Amino acid sequence: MTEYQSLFLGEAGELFASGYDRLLPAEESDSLDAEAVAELFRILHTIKGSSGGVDFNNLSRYAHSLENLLSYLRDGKVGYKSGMASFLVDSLDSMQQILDKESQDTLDSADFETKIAVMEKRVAEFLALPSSTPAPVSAPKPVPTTSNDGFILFDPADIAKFEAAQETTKLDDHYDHPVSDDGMIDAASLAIYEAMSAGNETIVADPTPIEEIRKSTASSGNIQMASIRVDLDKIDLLLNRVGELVITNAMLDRFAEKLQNHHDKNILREQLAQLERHIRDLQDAVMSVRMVPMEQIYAKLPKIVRDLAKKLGKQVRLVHSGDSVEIDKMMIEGLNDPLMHIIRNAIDHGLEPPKEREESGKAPAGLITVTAAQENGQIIININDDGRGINVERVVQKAIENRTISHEMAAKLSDEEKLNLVFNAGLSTVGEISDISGRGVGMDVVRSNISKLGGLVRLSSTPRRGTRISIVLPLTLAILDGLNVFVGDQRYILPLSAVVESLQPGPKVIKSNGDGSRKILMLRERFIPIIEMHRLFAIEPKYAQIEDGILIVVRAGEERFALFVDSFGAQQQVVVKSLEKNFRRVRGIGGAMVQGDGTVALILDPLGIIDKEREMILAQEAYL
Amino acid sequence: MKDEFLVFTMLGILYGVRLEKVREILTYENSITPLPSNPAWVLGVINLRGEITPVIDLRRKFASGSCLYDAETIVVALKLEGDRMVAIVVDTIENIVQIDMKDAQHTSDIGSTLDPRYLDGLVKVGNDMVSLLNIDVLLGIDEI
Repeated sequence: MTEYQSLFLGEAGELFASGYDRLLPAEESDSLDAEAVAELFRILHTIKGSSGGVDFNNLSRYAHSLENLLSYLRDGKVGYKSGMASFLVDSLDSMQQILDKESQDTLDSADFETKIAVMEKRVAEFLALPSSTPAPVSAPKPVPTTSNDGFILFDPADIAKFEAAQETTKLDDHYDHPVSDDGMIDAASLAIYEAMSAGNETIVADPTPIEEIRKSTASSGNIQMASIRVDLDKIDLLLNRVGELVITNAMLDRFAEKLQNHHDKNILREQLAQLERHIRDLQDAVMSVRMVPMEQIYAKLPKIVRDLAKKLGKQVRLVHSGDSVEIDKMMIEGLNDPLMHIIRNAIDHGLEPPKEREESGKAPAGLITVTAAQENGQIIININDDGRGINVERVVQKAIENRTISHEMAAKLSDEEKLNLVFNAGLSTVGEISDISGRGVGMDVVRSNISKLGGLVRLSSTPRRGTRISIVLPLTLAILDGLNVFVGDQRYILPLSAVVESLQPGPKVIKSNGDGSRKILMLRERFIPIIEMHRLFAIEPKYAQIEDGILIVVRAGEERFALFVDSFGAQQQVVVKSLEKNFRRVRGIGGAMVQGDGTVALILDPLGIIDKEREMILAQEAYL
Repeated sequence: MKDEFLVFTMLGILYGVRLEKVREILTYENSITPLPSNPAWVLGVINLRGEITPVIDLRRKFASGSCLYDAETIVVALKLEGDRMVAIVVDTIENIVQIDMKDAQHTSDIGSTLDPRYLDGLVKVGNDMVSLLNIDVLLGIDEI
């Protein structure tokens, strides 16, 4: 595949997504308004042009044929016919399949000819049917352009303007022009609005003084006028360079510290402090480029919900909010699968069939709400459904059958702990296995994926009322707040989000059983296992006795452990670097950072540390 | 067509790597951050131009026995396939030689103690044998 072809794949993904965005509500209401028609026409026209340009000729041909229908609709030559929206959804599905195959060179030409013939036949049928309603034509609304591939659209100022324009048109559909917050028409945002909405020269509604701008932008057929696409690698490179600046700055500062002349020393240090502030601003600016709105994830949801609801014979209403909440692009990649899984679960297991819902006094259509918000430097995503809730007793029963827990243990669990059994591997409350979810490889994977992003998953459920799953994520993967801990001559960074408390233990709180080779911390009412860092990492410690060092209570998923280290130091923000780029994953290590003196310190991964400890215990037992 | 190789020694034996793969030559400093539970020849990681780079001591991989780390010890940073940066520890840098790969003799699985996959061949330079290392295999993810 050529570079242009892979670029097109990214663009096509966005185009398909905005197509579905338009079509899914249209399918539900079985109608298409003029705006949607104009937008769909623009999408097909762009796909046709761009795919032809990069030699995906079959896709181009298909899009061309389908475009005919839309151009008739747009020009009012035919009216909307029942089933048209549904047909267009199916056609977009076909186009995606064609593109998939064509890009991998596996498109079967006979198969393609059948597909296009079937589509053309239906188009002809639609065109032959007598018109029911005339199709009105008016100015189209701007449509958000989102990127779901490895690229980010940026230029925040322009995006902000675009969003402002979009917001106002959302608020009041009667406005033909975007109106800024104070109610004034802003020429710049108008220009962008026009450029965004008129991706094609044929969709020009009313001539205004900005005709010139429209011509110059619209004729190129590009929908992302005010932004450019940037490879994520380039942004990471920028971030790397900024990281280098931070280190150089620290080295200079250390040098300045050694100067004998106090006057020079003070001036130099003052200026270095200023330099450091500039570097921080630069770092923040580069980070902001990596941030993308939640919209990008939401864009895929309606289609998934629709397909699944159709398949399972359920009715689902999807509501989402927090579209403009920004999230690290890297995070989106990792968040996508877990979120899709949770939503599939909600539709498959949570929501009841329409009849059952009506019998229990609920609306026939189940409601799934996805919200995103930024609070206290974290991103909180909630997924609610108003379905039947999780049957806690069934989860417990299943866990006992699977030997995850014993009868005795089950009796002692709190309701919350019982519910959290869902996160154990191999647990599914559905009797039979469906191909959508319920294979029992669900929530445990969701949790470990979220944990890889440095986040947590929380679950709450009320019988007959529904289930809520909350995902709490750090703002970014690239920077984390860490606590310095020391073992022997090594310094490690412990993510602050995992630290519960630290203490200097007296001998009375250190307990053990059996041969006493492993220790337990008795902290208030709880027994917390102690993991001795120097043993786990095979380092010569400064203190071998737990009473001489420090215990840090760490949260890892649902578990807690007390990490035994020599001492701990200051908290600091660190730029996270991956070990995997040049090496591979190391269990117990989440990443690395470059310190002020240019050497590397490792960032600890609490879940990995637990796994590593378990592995070590198993190895010891096997040896005995 | 002649290719340029950097020739260096490890435990008194001559080895060569393609010069185009060499990114940087540094002196060994005792500032390597050790990684938990890795084979002994993975010494740890260093910061190289902002990249976290593993340091591999092939002397420990190829032969047992003690290795010297002093002010003369050298670290060679190599860029492998897939843009991976990996550094190796060597005793001395000898020189850069031009080698016609037609002259390189393929190794038999007897005689050479190294896995034949690790070698691009053996060549005669002056009165010595230089083992040309295939670092993409030798330092591949599965090997280190």
